Amino acid sequence: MPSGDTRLGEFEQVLLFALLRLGDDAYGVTVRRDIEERTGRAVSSGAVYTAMERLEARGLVSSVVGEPTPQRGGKRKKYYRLEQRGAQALARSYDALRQMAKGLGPKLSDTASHGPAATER
Amino acid sequence: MPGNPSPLLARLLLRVLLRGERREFISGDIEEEYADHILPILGPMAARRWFWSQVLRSAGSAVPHVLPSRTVRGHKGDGFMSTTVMDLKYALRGLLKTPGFTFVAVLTLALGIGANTAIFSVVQAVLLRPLPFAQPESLVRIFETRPERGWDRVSLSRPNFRDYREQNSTFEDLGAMTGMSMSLTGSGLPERVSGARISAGFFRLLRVEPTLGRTFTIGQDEPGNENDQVLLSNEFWRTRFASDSGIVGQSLTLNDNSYTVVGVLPPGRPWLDAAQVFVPLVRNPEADRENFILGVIGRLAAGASTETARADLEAVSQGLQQIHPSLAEHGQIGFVLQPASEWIAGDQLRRALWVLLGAVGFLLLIASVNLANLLLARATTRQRETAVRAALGAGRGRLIRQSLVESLLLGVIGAGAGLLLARGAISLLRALDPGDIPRLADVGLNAWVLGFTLAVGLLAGILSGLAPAFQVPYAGLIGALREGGRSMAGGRAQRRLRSVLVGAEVALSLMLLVGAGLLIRSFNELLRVDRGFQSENRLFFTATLSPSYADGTRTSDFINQLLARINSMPQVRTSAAVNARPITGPNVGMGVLAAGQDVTSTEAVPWASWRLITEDYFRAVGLPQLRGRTFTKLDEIGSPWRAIISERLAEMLWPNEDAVGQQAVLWAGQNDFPAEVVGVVGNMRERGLEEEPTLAVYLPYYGAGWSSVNFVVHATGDPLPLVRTMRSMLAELDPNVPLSDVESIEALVGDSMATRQFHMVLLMVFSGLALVLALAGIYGVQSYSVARRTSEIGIRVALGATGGNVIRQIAGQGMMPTLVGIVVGSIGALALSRFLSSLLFGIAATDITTYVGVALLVAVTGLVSCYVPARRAMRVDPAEALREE
Repeated sequence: MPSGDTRLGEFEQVLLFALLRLGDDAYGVTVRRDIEERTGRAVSSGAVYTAMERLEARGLVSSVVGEPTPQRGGKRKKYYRLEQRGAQALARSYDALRQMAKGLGPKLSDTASHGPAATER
Repeated sequence: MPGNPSPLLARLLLRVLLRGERREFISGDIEEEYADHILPILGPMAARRWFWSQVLRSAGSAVPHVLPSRTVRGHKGDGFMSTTVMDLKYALRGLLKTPGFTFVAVLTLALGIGANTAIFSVVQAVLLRPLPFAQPESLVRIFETRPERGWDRVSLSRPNFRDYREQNSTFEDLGAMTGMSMSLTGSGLPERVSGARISAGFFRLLRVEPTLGRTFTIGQDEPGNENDQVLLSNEFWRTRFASDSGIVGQSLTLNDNSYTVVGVLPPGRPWLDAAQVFVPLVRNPEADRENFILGVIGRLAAGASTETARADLEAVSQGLQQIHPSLAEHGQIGFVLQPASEWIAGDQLRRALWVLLGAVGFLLLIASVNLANLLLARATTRQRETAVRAALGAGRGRLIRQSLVESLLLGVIGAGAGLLLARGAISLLRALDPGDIPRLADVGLNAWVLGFTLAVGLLAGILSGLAPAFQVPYAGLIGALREGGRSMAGGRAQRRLRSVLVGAEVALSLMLLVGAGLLIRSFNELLRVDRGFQSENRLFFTATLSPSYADGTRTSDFINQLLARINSMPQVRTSAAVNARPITGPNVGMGVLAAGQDVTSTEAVPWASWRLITEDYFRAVGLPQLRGRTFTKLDEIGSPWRAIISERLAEMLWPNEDAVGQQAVLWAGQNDFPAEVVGVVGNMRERGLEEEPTLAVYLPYYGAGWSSVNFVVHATGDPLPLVRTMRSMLAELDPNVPLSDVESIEALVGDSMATRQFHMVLLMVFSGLALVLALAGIYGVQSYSVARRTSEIGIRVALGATGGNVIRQIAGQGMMPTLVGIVVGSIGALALSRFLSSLLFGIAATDITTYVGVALLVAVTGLVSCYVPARRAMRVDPAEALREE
C-alpha cells in the first residue's frame, strides 16, 4: 500500500470526522456510537478497529493504549487521535466533495425521490 | 452487570476468531458498550442479541482485509499446520459472514447426517453389536430340513437331539431348549410365566456366567430331576423379585410343583431372555421322533467348520433313518446351520435394515449434491474475492484446498447438528417400536455411532466440496477481476455441472420414492387381503391349566363352564375355545389323505395344521361355515374321529365332490386315524396375513387335554372392558388358573404388520425428505439461472416475447435435468428393486403403477419448482433489465 496515497474512502471520512469531534475521548466505543447515532448506520467494533488500523498504517491517525477498566472485563482500550496528515486528507476530500456538490442540493433530492427520468429532460 | 453477563459462547467465539491486541481491544469495546450503554437501555434479551450480532459481524468484517498478506506469508513456509489452521479460520469467518447460506447448508447436511446416524445406530445395535456369549464365531443353531416337503427350518425332536449329541464328531457339545408356559402360584394371584426346558449344559455351552448362583449341573437332566431346580432370567429376577440377592436357595411353586432357585442369568439376547424361568429338559427315551419341539444350538469343535459339521450330522441322520424307518416319512433329512451372527435378526429384518441404511445413504448423497450446488453458486458470487487472492499469490492448489476445507468444516458442523437431530429421531424410533425388532431399546449414541457420524460428516463434506473446488476458475481470473465478477459468473461449464447435479438429485430421490411407493402398495395389498377371519370387537385370552387337568373330561368341563358364564354376559355375542390362536399360535400339523387314496411319495400327502375347537369357534372368529355342520358337545375327540376341514383342503382331497360325509385319514403315515368329514369352512390365514391360507383340520376340543386354552370372545362393542368380569368368572371356577395374554384380534393383526409398517413409515419419511431436498435443489438452480438471465429475458420481452413464451422457455429448460433424472432414476430403481422384492407383498418389484405414479409426482414437483422462478422471469420489466446491462 503506497503510504503517500491520501485518498479516503467514504467510511474512512466518517471515521476521521468522528475523531475530530471526539478529540481526546476517541476510542472504539465512542467512535462506534458517534457514527451510529449520527448516520443511523450499524457499524461493528471489528470494522472500526480494522479501518483504524489501516488509517494508522498510512500515518493518518495515531493511537495510545489506555488502562484496563472493569467494565471491559479487565481489557485495555485504544485511543485514537487525528494526525495532521489525516486532517489534511480529510479537508481535501471534504473540499472536493463540497465543490462537486455546490448548488446541486435540490436537484439531488429531487432525483433521489423521483428517479432519473425527471431530470433527463 | 453481574446478573446479566455477556453471552459466554459469543465471548468464546471471539477468543477463537481473533488474536493478540486485536482481540483485546475489540472484545473490550464490545464488553464495555454492552455493560455501560446497551444493557441498561435495551434490557437483557435484546442486549444479548446485540452482543451476538457485534461478535458475528466483527469476526466477519475484521478479517478479509488482512488475509491476502497472510496468505502470502503462509506460502513462505509457515508449514502445513499453520496454513490449515488459517484455512479453517478463514472458512469459519466466511461462514459467519453469510449466516443465511450457512444455516441452509448446515440444515441440509444435518438432515442427511441425522437420518444416517439414527438408522446406523439401529443397525449397530441390532446387527453389529456382539452377542453376550464368549467366542460366538463357533456357535451355530441347528435346524433340520425336509427338502421334499419344502420345510427349510424344522426344530428337532428330543430323540433326534439326543442321538445327534451322542454320535456327532464335530461339535464340542449340543444344547436344546423348548418353550412352554407355567403357572406360578403360592403368592397372591396365580401368574402365568413363560418357561423353558433346557438341556443341563445349555448355558455352559454358550459360556454364560450367571449373575447369581450357578447354572444346572451335569446330570441335572437325568430322569427323576424334572421338578427340582430352576434358573431365573435377569429381567424376571429384577421385576418380579426386585433384584433380591438372597433369591438363590428359595423355592417357587410352578405348575403345582416346588422348585429351588439355583441361579440368576445375566441379561442379554437371545436365549437368555427366551423365558422367565428355566427348568431342566429331562431325557425321555419314549419321546416321539415326530415331535419337532427343540431349538438346538451347538458349539463347533476346534478345526470343524459349518460344512464339515453339516456333513457329520447328515451322516448321523442317515444312520438313524436305517434304524428308525419312520424318520424317512417326510423324505431325506438335511440341515441348516445358522451362525450366531444371524441369531438376533432374521433374514427379513436384516434385509430391511440394510435397505433402510441404503436409503439414508441416498438421502446423504442428495443432501451432499444439494450442498455442492449451493457451494457452486456461492463460489460464483465470490469469484472476485478468489481472483484477488490468486493475484496476491495463492496457487490453484491452495485455492482448491481452501474450498475443500470450507466444505469439510460444513460437514463437521453438519455432523454436530445431525447428531442433535439423530437423538430426537432415535427416541422417536423407540417410541414407534413395532415390538419385534430385537435390542431396539439398547439403541443409542455410543462411540461407534459417534465415529460413524463424524465419518459421514467428513464424507459429505468431501462429496459436496469436490465439484466447487475443481470449479475454482483460474484461467479466467483476470477477466473476473476486471469485470467485477458478475457478468463472467457461472460459465457454460458450470451451468452444465449444476444441471447434472440437479439431475442426479432427482434420480436419487426418485429411487427412494419408488422404494417407499412399493412398500406402501404392499401394505395396502396386505390390508385388503382376505384373511378368512374377522377382527372387529373380538379378543383372545389364555387360561393355562395345571397338569391336574390333563384328563380330557376335566378340561372340557372347565371350558364348558367358563364359556357358559362368559356367554351369559349381555355384551357377549358368542365365545369359544381353541388350542392355538391365529398368527401367533404354535404351528401344529399333520398329514391328511382321503381314505383309499394311494400316494407314491411323501410330497403328495397334504400337510395341514390342526386346531381343537369348541362348537361356536367359527362364529366367534367370523369364519364362514360353507357346508355340513359344526361340532356339538357330543362330538368327543377320537370317539369316533370327526373332522371339519378348510375349503382348500376339501378341494384338494375331493376335487369336484362334496367333502361332507367323506372319510379322511388323519396323521397319515403316523397314526392313520380314519375320520368322517362333517363340515367344510372357509380358508383362513392362520400363519399371518402374508402367508397363504393354511390347509386346516378342525377337531373337537371336547375330551382333549390340551392345557393352554385360548378363549375367543366376540362382543357387541369393545370387548376389552369385559376382561375384568371374565377374570373373576375364571377365579370363581379355579383361583389357581391364571388368565393372560389378553389381546384383541385387531391388535393381533396390527402387531403382525407393525414391523412392515415401521419400515414403510421410515422409508416414506426418508423419501419425503429426499423429495423436499430435490425440490429445493431444482428451485435454487432455476432461481439462480433466472436471476442471471434477467437482461436476456428483458431483451426477449422487448423484442415481443409474451409472458407465456418466457415461462415456457425458462420452465422448459429448467425441466430438462428433472426429466433426465426421472429416466435415469427409473432405470436405477428397476436395477435396485430386486433388493426390495423379498420385502414386498402382493405386487412385483417392477410394479408399473408405482413407477408411473412416482415419476408423475417427481415431474409435478419439478414443474412447480421451475414454474415459480419462471413466473418471476415473466414479470421482468424490459426497461429495467436492459438498464442493468
